[in-house]
Amino acid sequence: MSGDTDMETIHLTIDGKVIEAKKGMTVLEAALNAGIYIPHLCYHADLSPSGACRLCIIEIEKGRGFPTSCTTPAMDEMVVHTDSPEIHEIRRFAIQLMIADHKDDCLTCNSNMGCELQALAAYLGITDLPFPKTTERKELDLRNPLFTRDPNKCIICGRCIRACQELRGVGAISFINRGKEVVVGTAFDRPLADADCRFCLACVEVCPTGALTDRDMAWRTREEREAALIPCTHACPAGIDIPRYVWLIGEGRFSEAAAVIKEKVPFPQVLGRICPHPCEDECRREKLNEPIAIRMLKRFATENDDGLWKKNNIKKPPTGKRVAIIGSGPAGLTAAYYLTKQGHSVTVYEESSRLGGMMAACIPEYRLPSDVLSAEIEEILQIGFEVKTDTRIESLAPLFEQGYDSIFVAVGAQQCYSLRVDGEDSPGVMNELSFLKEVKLGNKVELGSKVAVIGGGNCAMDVARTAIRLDVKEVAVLYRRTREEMPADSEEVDEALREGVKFIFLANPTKITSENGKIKLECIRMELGELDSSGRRRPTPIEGSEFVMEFDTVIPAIGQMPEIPDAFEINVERRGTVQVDPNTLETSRKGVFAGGDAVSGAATVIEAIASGRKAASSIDQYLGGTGVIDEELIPQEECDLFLGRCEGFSDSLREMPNHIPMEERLSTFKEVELSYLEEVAIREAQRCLRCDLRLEISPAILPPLKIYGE
Amino acid sequence: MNFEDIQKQAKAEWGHLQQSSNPRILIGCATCGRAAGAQEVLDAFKAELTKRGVEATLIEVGCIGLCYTEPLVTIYKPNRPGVCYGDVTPKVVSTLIEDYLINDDPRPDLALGTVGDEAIEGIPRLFDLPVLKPQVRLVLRNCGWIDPENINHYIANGGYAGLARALKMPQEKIIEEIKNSGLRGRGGAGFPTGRKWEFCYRTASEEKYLICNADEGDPGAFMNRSLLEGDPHSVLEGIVIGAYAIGARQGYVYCRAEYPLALKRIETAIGQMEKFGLLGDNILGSGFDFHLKIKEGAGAFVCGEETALMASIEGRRGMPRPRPPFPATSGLWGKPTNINNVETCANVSQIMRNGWKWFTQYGMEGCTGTKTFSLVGKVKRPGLIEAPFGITLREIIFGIGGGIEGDKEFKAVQTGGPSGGCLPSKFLDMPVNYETLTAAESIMGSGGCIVMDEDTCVVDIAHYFLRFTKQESCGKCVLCREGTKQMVDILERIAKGGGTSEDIDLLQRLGKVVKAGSLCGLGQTAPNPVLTTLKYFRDEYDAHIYEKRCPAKVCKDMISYAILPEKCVGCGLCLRSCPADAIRGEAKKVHIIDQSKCIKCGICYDICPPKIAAVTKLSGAEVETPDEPIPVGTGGEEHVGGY
Ligand SMILES: Cc1cc2nc3c(=O)[nH]c(=O)nc-3n(C[C@H](O)[C@H](O)[C@H](O)COP(=O)(O)O)c2cc1C
Ligand code: SF4
Repeated sequence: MSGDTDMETIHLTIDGKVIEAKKGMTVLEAALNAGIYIPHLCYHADLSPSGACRLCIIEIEKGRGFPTSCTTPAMDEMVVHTDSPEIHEIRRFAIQLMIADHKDDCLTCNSNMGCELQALAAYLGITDLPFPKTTERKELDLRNPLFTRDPNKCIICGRCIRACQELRGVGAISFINRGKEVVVGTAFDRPLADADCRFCLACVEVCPTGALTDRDMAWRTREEREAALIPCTHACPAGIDIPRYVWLIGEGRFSEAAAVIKEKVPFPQVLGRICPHPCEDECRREKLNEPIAIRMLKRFATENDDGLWKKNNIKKPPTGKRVAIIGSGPAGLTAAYYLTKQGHSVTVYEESSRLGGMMAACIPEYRLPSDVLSAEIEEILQIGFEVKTDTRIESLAPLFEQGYDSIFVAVGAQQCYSLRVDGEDSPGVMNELSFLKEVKLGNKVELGSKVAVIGGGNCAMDVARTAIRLDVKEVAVLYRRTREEMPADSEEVDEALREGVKFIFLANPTKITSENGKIKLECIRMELGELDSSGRRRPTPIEGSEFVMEFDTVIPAIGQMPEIPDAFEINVERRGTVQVDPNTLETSRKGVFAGGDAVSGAATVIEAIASGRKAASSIDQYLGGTGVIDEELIPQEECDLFLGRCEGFSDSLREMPNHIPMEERLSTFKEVELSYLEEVAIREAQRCLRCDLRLEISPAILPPLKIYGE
Repeated sequence: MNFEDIQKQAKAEWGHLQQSSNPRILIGCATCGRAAGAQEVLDAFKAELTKRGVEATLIEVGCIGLCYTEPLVTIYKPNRPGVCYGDVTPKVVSTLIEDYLINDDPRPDLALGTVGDEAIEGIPRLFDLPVLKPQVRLVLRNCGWIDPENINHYIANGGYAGLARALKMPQEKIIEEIKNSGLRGRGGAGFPTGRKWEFCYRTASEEKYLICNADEGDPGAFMNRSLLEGDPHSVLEGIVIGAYAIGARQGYVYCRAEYPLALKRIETAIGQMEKFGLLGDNILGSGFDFHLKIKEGAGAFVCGEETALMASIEGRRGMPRPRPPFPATSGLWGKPTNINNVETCANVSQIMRNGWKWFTQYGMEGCTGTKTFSLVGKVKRPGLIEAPFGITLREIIFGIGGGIEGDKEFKAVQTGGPSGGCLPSKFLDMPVNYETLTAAESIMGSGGCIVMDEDTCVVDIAHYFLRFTKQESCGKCVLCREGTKQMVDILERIAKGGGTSEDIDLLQRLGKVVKAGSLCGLGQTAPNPVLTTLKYFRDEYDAHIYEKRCPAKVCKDMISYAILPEKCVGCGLCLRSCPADAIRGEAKKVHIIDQSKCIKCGICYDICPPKIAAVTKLSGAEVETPDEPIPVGTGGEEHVGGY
């Protein structure tokens, strides 16, 4: 271990080479530092030395025996030999003894080509074993969901134990038994969860062999590995550094947490309420019990933000370039925000009178209160760009004529899909977007007493839950598959059910007729067949199973598509979406970029934001900038690897947010979900497994590559 | 109370005991004595004395080391030397009370020897017995002669004078004194104690520790136990002196939990020391504070290794760690720590009382003083002995030990416990010290001495010892953990007849590697029994490997039993006792062993009356036996002699 007080420089000779080292280093550290490789296995740069593997032995002139270089302090004028026939013999036997006791299924081992034992065997030229191999097999330990322990591959180097104790301060595992019977395990062989394991997987990270391996994971590149190990950040379209902000909340540093979120998205308040949180679906804690409530934590952090991020929020000097943005939804405003920060002069055109696109017009008030959105947009506007509301753009040419250097088309997906059944235009059949818009505007909408909503996505849920808050008796959602296949957030479905929405699954409308102000909805029963391209089972109608139901209003909500004016003169795809280069978001027309729902079809706010960021970066580059819009709103700090012991850690359940009383929910449009209390937020944040800490652990130092034939 | 007053009081009590008109009866009640029946003897004395109305003082004392003749009783009558009796039973007790206490007949026929200046006709002097004469008892001088639970007995016999002297000396002077004495650690490695103290003394630290290592994990060793049971204060005095010399204010005695009596004696002694101001704050008014705690070890052999021992005291798993750092610079809880063996500590008390010059008269150049050994195995007089360094193995085994049991042939002696080497007869005249034993590829260890006779198979014995170290390996380092396992497997293979010529080479290479490359002393010595037997008894390995023959006729897979037709008298004893129904025969007919059924338990061999000795054990040889039981005396004149 390096002494930090005494940094005196010393000189020692290793294998005839004089090297420089700092006082306090061990001989092994000094050698590795100077590029001299000494074989080692139980040594790990981040852990205290142990001296167990005996591979790093050396000879010291005027010294006795074969001390381990990992534990021998480097001294001035020391003369060290890292190899000799005796040392070689000891090393070879040590490795052969390990191999004799090591299950070898190398070619199918999860650690193949990453195994340090394998690398050392090759380095030391082991081609045979003087001993028979152990044949008796210990049982695989699959008792925890995140990693597999194969005791047959354990070489008792003790790195996992040291990592758990020294890096994490947890101490869940230790050596058990003596002699040949030694294994690594928990006291009394309890499951790890009961030994207060934090499932940080530091043990897996430092394991030199395939004894501890991540379950169901494979990667080829560093990027793939990081994506697999920190899946939340990877799942976030905008790439928010989730572990970092969750940790900051757990530390009670809410403004800093908010700044971390703000580094990637200008709409944290909105996302904290309505993001469908793909991150939570990937959260590794889900395998243990329940995922971290990442969205709720985001909401909590931004609600408790004192604006610290503003200190580091910078706007570059003007570039003199102008950008027109069509549409003020999340994609448009995000792009406007970042382009403005890059120094460009931006104008946002919005056809309606309100900024925010779908967020302002359609997302129901009980999920996203208007004042929250307005405040957030207000803050975005402060960066300083122009907005022109009530201005519909029909053609792009005039904009170029006005001197805009580039145009970003972010008009969203405003056209509802049709059901394509007879009688779709009957009175009493309503367009979902107009319905939501009318209600959001506070206009009275007559629905009658029985309402059918057709579809299984988030939009259908919004419609159904909005309808049930109006003066109706019954709201039924018809969906052609089952609950399991519903694309809507399961929280949304739960809340709809709780509010009294009925669900009719495996039913598909075939015909609509209107009589005396009532609607007869003819449906057919469906059954689920083979998997389709979305990975869900394909619904097929059951012949002769038609049935009829009566409603006052039917609202299809099966999705929307963009409607791009022809005069834009940009290519569109079959489903009306804008054709773009996926890397740059540039359209077929030079200088014109497109993003958000206009490109993806109806999707989520977070995807639109991500798309807005991407567009901003591309447009910046197009305009001669660097394209770098990433920012550091709070400085990165050195990670504390220490976790400490926490009783019952793995059992702690997800904190559920409180809701307003049901009567209020059903009779008003008040926001349903209440924010976390401080202690609840901290508790929830502290449930995080801190998967990110693994990447802070130093990589193992492998022997130099063996060159065949040399 | 100052020390002179303490001494005066103790001497008065001791003198009173000596001068008492009542007889004194000392009964050896250490663990070994108890195992031999000392408790029953004690009870018998109590009952019998009361019954007969004889007044006498009974004192439970430690062991004088004559294990072969325990229980031991020494009776002092006024104006008479003490008379020591061996093999005392409750029956002998009444005889002694009747004959000696009441009728004043010391019963020379039952007596072992006399103790004291005067003599008794017909009884030799105890210390002139061949078992004791070559011995020099410094460390064990009080064992068996004082009441270990009475601090005054210790003080009256010179105890704590060394401490009193030390406390008046500067620390450097004490260290100098110990250095001059040449005292070396008795825990195994023989490192000079004074130098070790000096390292620790020189390391600047507010906190330092002194640990007394009473783990004694080698099977068959009981020197430390005996000393702690028989004279605990001699050890504790040395501990306090050491603590003062290095500047430690806290100490630990690390003693295995399997030593309940020793633990009790230490605890009692510590209580007495505290009462007398010999432990605690301001010891004997010197201003020096020292506190001592007992730490019970769970009995793993490796916990005797100093770094493992410290880990164990700290509440961690008892696993050794590489040195440096040495305990003297970073030991218990990272503080400078000195660890000494029980016997080392007891020697310190002696040296400080008598001065270093006195000490150097014993032993030899470079290796002064005495060493205790536990002499066990196939000797006539096993026991706990103490002899000066330089004594030869012959003097130990044939002098003190009285030679080989049953007057069989001496084969080897293993010194130093389970990981010592097995030395053949050519080393019998070698003077024993740390260096000579190491040169012979064995070790001093803690002083184990296991004697083996001609009936011992070296492959079997190497396997036996190695299996022990394999089990006791802490499992930390690969060479010891896996290497001992592989060596045990190879030895098993050889013993079972599956050995090959490569096995010898492999054993040798592996043994050397494990010795040179292991982390701690356990692994570094574990191969000794294998390497020495390979070196000194190679022919026996060869016999196993090439001839599939066990010359000592021990390895089950290589022996067979047969009934010699010319000797069998057809008594049927063997037939009736064979647990495997492998013997056929009828009255007056020669019995036959069915080899396919025989499980080689050897019961027939043991049960056949020695006069007849018709059952023979064979290895690598055969005898002609009839196919069917034939009348005795009708066959088998050509005995194709076995090995
Ligand atoms: C495996 C092993 C077991 C040991 N057991 C003991 C023991 O039981 N008692 C002891 O005093 N020393 C034992 N030692 C030696 C100690 O490590 C240490 O050297 C000794 O206590 C130092 O005391 P000394 O200098 O007074 O000899 C053992 C060493 C090893 C390697
Ligand atoms: S030599 Fe044996 S006992 Fe010593 S540390 Fe290594 S494994 Fe443990």
